Parts: sequence; structure tokens; C-alpha cells
Amino acid sequence: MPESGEPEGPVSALAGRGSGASDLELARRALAGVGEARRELDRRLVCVPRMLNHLNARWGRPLQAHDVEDLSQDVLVALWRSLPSYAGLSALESWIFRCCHRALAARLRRMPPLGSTQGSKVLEPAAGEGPEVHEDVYQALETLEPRARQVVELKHFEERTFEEIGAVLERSPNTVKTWYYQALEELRRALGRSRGSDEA
Amino acid sequence: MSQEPSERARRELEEVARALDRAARLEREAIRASEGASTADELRAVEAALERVRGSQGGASGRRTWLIAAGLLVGALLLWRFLPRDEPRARPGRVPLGEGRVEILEPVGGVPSFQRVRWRTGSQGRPRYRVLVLDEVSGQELLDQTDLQAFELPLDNRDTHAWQRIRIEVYEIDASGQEGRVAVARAWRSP
Repeated sequence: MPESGEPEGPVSALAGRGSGASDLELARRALAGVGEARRELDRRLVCVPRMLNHLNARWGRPLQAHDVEDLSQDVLVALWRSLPSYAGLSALESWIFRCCHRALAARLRRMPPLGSTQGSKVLEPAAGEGPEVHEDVYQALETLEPRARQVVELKHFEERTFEEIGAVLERSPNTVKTWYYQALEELRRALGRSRGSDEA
Repeated sequence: MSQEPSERARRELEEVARALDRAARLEREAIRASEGASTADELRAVEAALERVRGSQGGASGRRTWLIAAGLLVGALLLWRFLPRDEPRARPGRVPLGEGRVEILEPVGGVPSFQRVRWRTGSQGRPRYRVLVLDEVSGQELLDQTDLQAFELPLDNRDTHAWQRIRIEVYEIDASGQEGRVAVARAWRSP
């Protein structure tokens, strides 16, 4: 599942950027069985079928509508079961999206090749946008230690500047920049390993 | 970074950053596309999917609780049954004695006065008994009555006022006149 481990030290504060902290609190209360929190979580999880439909459309509609519906059920169950591992390092919707991405990519890998698909009209995915394109990036992100991951998430997924990240982390922009490049180096090695060309 | 990366490494880092940007763009785009108020049907679908897993988790948790409680109960019963205890497990007079066993029923422990000596046996037939009472502190013999055929020796007609802490011994005498099994008890006067 997308996230694991608890943040520590200044990273705890980072987990609070955006809706991370309130989402983490929501997840904990929902797991504790608080009815109000569960209803709120259910409302947020409505995005699951929508995200799957969006990705399926973007990738050339390899799955038919009822397949997406089935997959939505599986993803919802998987999300609930892995909710204890959600650490609030990113907004809940980011966490949900990466789970949807992974689940759909896995489902497509089990399907016959595009040319042999029967009964469904498969469109060509947008150039450079197949299910496999970003999967290794999301997986590599999970290998980073929490502080490095927070910096990368803020820089690329939240489009924050080093100054803004430094303000949140209560560190100088230069320190944040150092952490960022160290994280990029880690990611480069992780991606090299996943693509079978580790040059680290 | 503290060390200037090589040109190739720099290009690779830039490629990693671009890959992150592309992944982030896709993610933002999907999140934007999924925004908007949820319909009642969508909400019902989510609730239905999660109801099953939440229910089964609750059931499993309940079963675990019951299993743990049952295990603790069995453990406690086994401990109660097999742990050695100072007190006899069966109270006098509650269970039959085995063959040849003699048990003193009275006086035992603290008593307000010494009125009789009473015992029982698991032996068959009609054995006779010898009752010996000693001062437990000094060892002085206070009473020695033999050839008793009953299971009780009244002390009404004896002066027991000086008896404080006593040791009672009851011997079983077989048909050949041999003293066999013996039962011992201690008793003391208590207000």
C-alpha cells in the first residue's frame, strides 16, 4: 500500500501540511469505529470509482464499465484494510489515487495483450501514458525515509518552493535543498534498480 | 549536494525530477477529475463494499475476544484443579475415607470447649479404638482411653478446664489387638 511507517521529529509537523494531519486523524477515528468519521471517510472514498474511470479512459479504456466497477469494490476493500498504514504524509486523495493506479496497472498486467482482447473496443493510450509509466515512480517514493519523502512530495506533488518547504519544516531553504537532492539521488538509485540498470 | 555531481549523474537527476513532475501531473489531474459532490448511489456503493469488510473485521475481533476469554477460563480451572494447596481439598465428612483410614472430626482447631472426641473410619467390620490426648506444649498425657467401639468419646465427665492446646491421636485396633492406623489432630481453646 502507498504509505507505511510513522513520521518522526520535524516530519510530524510536515505531515500536517495541507490536509495530511486532519486526514490522518480522520483515518484513525474511522478505524476506531467513530460513526461520523466513517461517514466522512465513505464520502471521501467516492473518488475511487471516479479515479479508476479517469485512468481507464486515459489508458485507452482497456476495462469495460462493469470491470471498473468490480475493481472499485476490490480497491475500496484494500484501502480500508491498509488504512492503518496511512501515515498522513500526503493528502488522503493522493494516497487513494496511488492505490487506484497500482490496482488498475496490476489488473491490466493480467489481461491478454491489447490485440487479442475480444468484445471490447480498446483505444490507444495517450503517448507515453501507459499504466507502467508512473508506477515505478510511486514505488520508488515509498522507499524514501519519511523526511525525504515529505520534501519530494511537497516539491513536486504540491508544487511548493524550497522557501515554503523550509518554512513548514522550520529549516533553512538550503537545508531543504540538500535533503531534496539527497532524496533525488535515492530515487535515482531506486528507479535504476526497478528498471534493471542500477548504476549506483 | 556537497559534491558536484558528474554531468551524467546530473542529467539522471533531472530525468528523475521530470518523472516526478509527470507523475504529479497525472495525480493532480485524476484528483481534480474525481472532485465534486457525491451522489447517493455512489455513496451507497462505497458503504456496501465497506460494510462487508468492516463487519467481518468486527466478527473476527469478537471471535478472538471469546476465544481468549475461553482460554483464560480453562487455564484458571486447570490451575485451580492442579495447584498444590495447604488445605485438604475435601472437607472432613464430605468424602468417604479409604479402607483403613481414620479421621478425627472433633475437636479440630480452635474450639470454645472440649466436649467430645469424634472420629470416623473407612475400615470395614467393627474395629476398636484407642484415644490418646496430650498437652501439646508439655507432652503430658491428659487422657488415654482404649478399647472403644463407638466413634465418639464424650468428655463431659472429665475435667478439661486446664486443657489449652492439645494433640489428639486415635488408633485403630485390629482383631488381633494390634494398633494400626492412626489419626492425629490439634485443637486449642479459643474464646
